[in-house]
Amino acid sequence: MTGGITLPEIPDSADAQNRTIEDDDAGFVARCQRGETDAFTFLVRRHQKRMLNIAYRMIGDYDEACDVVQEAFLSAWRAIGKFRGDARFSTWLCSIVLNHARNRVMQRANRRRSEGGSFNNPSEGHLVNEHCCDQAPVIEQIEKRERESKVQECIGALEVEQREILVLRDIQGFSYEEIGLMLKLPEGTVKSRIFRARKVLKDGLMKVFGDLT
Amino acid sequence: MTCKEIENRLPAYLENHLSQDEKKIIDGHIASCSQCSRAVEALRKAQKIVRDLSDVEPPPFFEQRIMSRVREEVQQKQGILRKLFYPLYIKIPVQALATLLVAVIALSIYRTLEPELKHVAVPAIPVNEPAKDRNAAESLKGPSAPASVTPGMRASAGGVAEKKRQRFVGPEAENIAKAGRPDSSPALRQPEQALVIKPSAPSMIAGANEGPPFPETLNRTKDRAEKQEAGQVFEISPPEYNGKGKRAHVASVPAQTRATDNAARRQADLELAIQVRQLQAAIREVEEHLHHANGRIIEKWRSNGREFLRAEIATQNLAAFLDRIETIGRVNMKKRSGEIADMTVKVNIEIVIVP
Repeated sequence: MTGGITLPEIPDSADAQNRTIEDDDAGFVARCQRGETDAFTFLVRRHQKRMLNIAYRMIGDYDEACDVVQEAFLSAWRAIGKFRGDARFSTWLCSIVLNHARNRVMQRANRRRSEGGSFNNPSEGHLVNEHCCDQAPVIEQIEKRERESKVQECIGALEVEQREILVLRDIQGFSYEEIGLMLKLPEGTVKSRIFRARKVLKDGLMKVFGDLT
Repeated sequence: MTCKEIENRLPAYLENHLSQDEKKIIDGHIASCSQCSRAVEALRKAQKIVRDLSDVEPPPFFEQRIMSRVREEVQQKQGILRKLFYPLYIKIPVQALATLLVAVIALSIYRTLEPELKHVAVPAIPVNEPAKDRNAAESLKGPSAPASVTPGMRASAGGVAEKKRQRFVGPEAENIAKAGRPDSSPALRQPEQALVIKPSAPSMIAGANEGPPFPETLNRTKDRAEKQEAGQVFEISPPEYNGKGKRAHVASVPAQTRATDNAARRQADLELAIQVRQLQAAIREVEEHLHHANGRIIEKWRSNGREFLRAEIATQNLAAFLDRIETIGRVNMKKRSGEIADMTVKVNIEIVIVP
């Protein structure tokens, strides 16, 4: 599953070279580089949820997102000796997850073409293990879940390049600089893509939900 | 700016990424255009919807599943390394033992094959100096028990040489021991006759002044020995020593006594005369054929421009030797009367040049 996955090289920006990257994970990373698997456990525990959400929003399928994240963590362990600390560990890890997720998206698209299915299949997937507000009524929870499923479909309808920027910026809150490092793109390109992605998503949501105002 | 253009710039407008001029234009347009105003609101709403998406939670034991795969890979890698690289206190003795085992096997194989390698080696033909004394009376009859002669004895042989005829018989050689029991060739039983094998150049015996011609019949009388000694006689000292490491030489024996001694010593069962065109080449060929026949050269001497060899050949190899020397030149053969019953045969070979 990790075949063809190239590990990201975080380009050195001028700012990054002139400032110290503060990373709470630096200590754990150093221990992992010495071969301590227990230290890697802390890193998994700290970042597994965020990585899973990124993968899920990219792929649109919960089970496959879990597989992708497992593979991504395994790839990160194998390559942790090469991590130089030029960027945050979370940024580096996110790049690995995005690479794996991108590949999985392509595989799913090819599989659907060969099977003759549509790209957006609402019946696919099962109940997502979402955080539920215990205080909300069940009906509202169900409505919420259905609404979010449709939103996910609209996100899935975006082009992969627009989708990943939208997920990173509007869902996960990464800065334009960090997104540029992850995707190896200049900030101007990142911004233009996110603006385009938001407009397309807005149009898609309006088609599904009607007037959003 | 059209509504379409305004709508395309709305995301940047909301991010405050437009210039002040563009922002003023859009503000003015939005205030007056309900469609663009709704578009701005829809855009804000869409962003909120995306931001409000619930996070999905990892499945139970997700962390454990990840770590189990990580630890499995670590153990697998360690297992491969451990298999290849034992601890040194195990690896080094194992490697040393393996090296020792290979060396022992190689040595045992070499020792097993060593006798065969030695057996294959071809032994050289020794040219031995006669080293044993012989009673003169017995020498007339034929080969008998050998007697040893030391250089000291030969030096003083002048006093007893007239009464005593020494017959020098070389020591037994390895190749003679290999001859085995004699198997008399039918050729040896043939009556005494001159054997012409291959006609070569017209035979021209060297001038009478050069020395006595090779007689048709050879007897071992004292006259014959004296005639041989009439010419220039010099003994070629054999290059190899006898078993006792002594080099025989004739130092102060009178010429007449020496001639008698030589004649007695050089009596043979068979006399061969080979007429050749090139002397040295013929000598080499004769020696080579002797070697092939497991014979040995007892003595070599030269007289009157002719080369003489005295050799000893196993009786069973004599026929083959005679066949081979026929290729060298015309061969005349004489043998003494009586059959050859011994295991070895003494042969005198004379090589003479004919133009």
